[in-house]
Amino acid sequence: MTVSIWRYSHLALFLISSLFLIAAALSGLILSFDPISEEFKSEHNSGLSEINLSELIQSVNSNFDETFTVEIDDNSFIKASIITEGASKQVYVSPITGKQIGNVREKNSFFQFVTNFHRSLFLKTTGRLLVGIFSFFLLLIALSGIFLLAKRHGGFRHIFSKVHKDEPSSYWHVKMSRWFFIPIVIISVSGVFLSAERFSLLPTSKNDEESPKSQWSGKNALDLITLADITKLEFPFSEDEDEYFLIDHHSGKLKVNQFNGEVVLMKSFGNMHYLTNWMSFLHTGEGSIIWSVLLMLNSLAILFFMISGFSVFLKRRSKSLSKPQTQTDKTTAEIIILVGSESGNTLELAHELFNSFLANDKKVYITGLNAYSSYPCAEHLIILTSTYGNGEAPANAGRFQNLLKTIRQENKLSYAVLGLGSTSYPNFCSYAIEVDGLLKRTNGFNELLPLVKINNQSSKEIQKWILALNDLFNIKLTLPKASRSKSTDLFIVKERTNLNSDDTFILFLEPKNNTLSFQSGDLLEVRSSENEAPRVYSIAEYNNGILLCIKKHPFGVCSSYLADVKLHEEIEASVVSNPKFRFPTEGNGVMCVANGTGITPFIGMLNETLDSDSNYLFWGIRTPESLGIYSQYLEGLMIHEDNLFITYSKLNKKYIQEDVITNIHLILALFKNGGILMICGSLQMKEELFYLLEKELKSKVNKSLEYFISKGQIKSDCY
Amino acid sequence: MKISNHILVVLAFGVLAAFTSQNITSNYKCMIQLKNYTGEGAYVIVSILDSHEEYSETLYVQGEDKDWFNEISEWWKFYGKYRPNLDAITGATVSGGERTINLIKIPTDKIDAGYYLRFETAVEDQEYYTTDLQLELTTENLTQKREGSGFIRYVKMIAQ
Repeated sequence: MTVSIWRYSHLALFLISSLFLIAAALSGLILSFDPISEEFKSEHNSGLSEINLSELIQSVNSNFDETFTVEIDDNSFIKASIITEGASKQVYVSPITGKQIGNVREKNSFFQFVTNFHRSLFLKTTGRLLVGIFSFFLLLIALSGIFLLAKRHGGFRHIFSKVHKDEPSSYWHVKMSRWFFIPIVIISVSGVFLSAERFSLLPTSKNDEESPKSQWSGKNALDLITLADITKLEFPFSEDEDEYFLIDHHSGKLKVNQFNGEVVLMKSFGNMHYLTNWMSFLHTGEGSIIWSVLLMLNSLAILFFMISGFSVFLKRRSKSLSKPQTQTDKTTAEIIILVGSESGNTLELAHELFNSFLANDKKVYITGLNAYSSYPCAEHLIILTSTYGNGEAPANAGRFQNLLKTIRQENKLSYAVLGLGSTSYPNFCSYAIEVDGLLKRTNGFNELLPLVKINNQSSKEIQKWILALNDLFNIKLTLPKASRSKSTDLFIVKERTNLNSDDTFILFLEPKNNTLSFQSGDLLEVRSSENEAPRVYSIAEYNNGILLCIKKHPFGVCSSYLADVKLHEEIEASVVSNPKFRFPTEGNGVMCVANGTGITPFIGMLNETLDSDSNYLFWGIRTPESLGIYSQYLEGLMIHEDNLFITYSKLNKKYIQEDVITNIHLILALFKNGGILMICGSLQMKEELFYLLEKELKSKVNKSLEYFISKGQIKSDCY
Repeated sequence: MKISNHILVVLAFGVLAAFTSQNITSNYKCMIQLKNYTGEGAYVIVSILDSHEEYSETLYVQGEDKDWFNEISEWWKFYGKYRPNLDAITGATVSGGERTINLIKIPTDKIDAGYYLRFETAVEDQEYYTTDLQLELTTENLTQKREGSGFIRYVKMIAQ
């Protein structure tokens, strides 16, 4: 709920102020070049602190008929307003000789024009007011954005945690916001400040005190104050006693007797004066090339945020609008699909599932979790939900828990929950877990399928869940998303083994296209026929071909198809790159943990490595006989025999994960040296291993499993 | 023939007189000290008016943003018609409490000739004073400190 308020304001404020912000960012971008170009125009005067005012007064007076004012600007240029040859002029003078070294050019009229636009949009006072208000909106946008970021990452402490890979516009919007949040706040606050000052809304500082006393009392201040201390020196109008030198000193305004240099009056600057100067500097970057460049980047960033933010908004909108056309009435539907979706990804998957049910002539109804009501003819409830931030319900699911309590269903419903999320967030699928638990504890609901959690939209994991649904409903659901896969390649079966006692077999495939690139750990999508959803297998790169280890499932269409493939036959498949599961190039040691056919990628990886002593292989398999088919491919494995651990689950009555934990000291040493733990095999093995590992890591090194995952020291590819 | 000769002579003198009168100017140093008001810098226009108080010449314009010139409505009626280039006699605005010193060039023949010197002031979103300070253009007046009635505290002039 709170999330939607922040998101709504983030969006609404953007929409309201977008035109203005584009104008301001573009003109600001141009203006940022003003100080930069000034900076390059001429050399800086250095050594201003070496020259006192008496010296300067003398040198300019000897060069010109009359001098009115001398100003020292942010770039340390000395600008004098003088009379020479009967005409008044603005000139730059040398601080040493007092001679004219150049004419003051009019401030570039282009920059002046843009400044005017940036300040008031050519609308004078109204424009200035609007600019002030929209600067404030920019601040609100930045603040609501940072709240959204914190929500997304599960708290302010995690703002800098890894950004979950998403569509590029969304990913970079989030990633860049962490770097540009503070500069944007600075730019908007200073903008608001300057506007408020313009409209005299700021408190005038009371501590502007006037006093005849100063640090120069009784001395000739003109001899003591240097050019580096002042911004402006006004010469006396005439030689009257009551005409003085007026000095804008860094500490205040001074009135100095023109004959003896004594300070007659000093008006100290209040805090407001310094604050205004600072705000003005922060907003314009005048005098600092670094800050100007930063402001320029910031203008670009604002434009980028607007474009990327708007594209995220459009994508979400189109996702939520793509409602299925042929919705069955909810009073007659047998299958109800409920969706909890924040960004629309889950919704997209749910719609595909819905269409797939429709194609199978099922009476199916789809709606958001918050629209849960009573469904008189329903038998099955399928829930797909993501999780938001710190384990909260996504935007359209917040009321589901209460609805579930109050609404009575006529039939007993069997339910299946699919959670979508990313293991890179601390609360992976926790809302799906909550929903699954709620249904478990509510009367009138039976479990159809146990809860399944999908990491990063893994099509492999989703396929597995779909296959389970297919078995239950005795239908053929396909996912259009999966069939949308890229072009396929042809592979020739070069070698194959028979099925061993575990119904497992190995294929060695050679691509017909010998430029095809792949690595151990990549995935191969295979489809047994056009209409069938593809299955995905982890591969090993082996002798320039692909090695596949497959377990034949009694009802698995694809594994049955591959089990029947003959030698030298061609099969169609496509390689999917899987960069998150790569063998590291630096040799800090790797521990490979696999069960069953999960050994596949490691056969390729450990074949290529040169360093046999720092790597470990833990492999769980049912019986020693199961090994037979693998033996010829294991020969080339570069692994020291002391580093090889094989657990026979049937023989030793023990699973591989327990064996790994017995050798926890190896893992700790590995992590300490920057090594990596790689896990491939069944999801169940991985979950149990993670459970045990979490406990061990907590007690031995007081670090969480998550810590090592986020550091990239634990990689897994399980299904 | 004779008459036309006379006319020519008169014309020639007239042109010469006009020529000289436009070029002989007296330089005056002029200090404008503003009151302590808050807000944007003040626009100050210094003009010469003839004996009927019609604008005759603009001597000095303090304020560079031409977008605001039309807010100084009396002067704008005179200047806005032709809008001659003012760059040579334009300076930046100064804020409340500050002062500016400038060189103004007053046509010598207009001094002590029934003309007026007018200082009019305006500040964005605040008042506009048509005659913040107006004085007869006499040699004596040009050497005295004169107080303004609007944003100007006083004006001081000295022959340069």
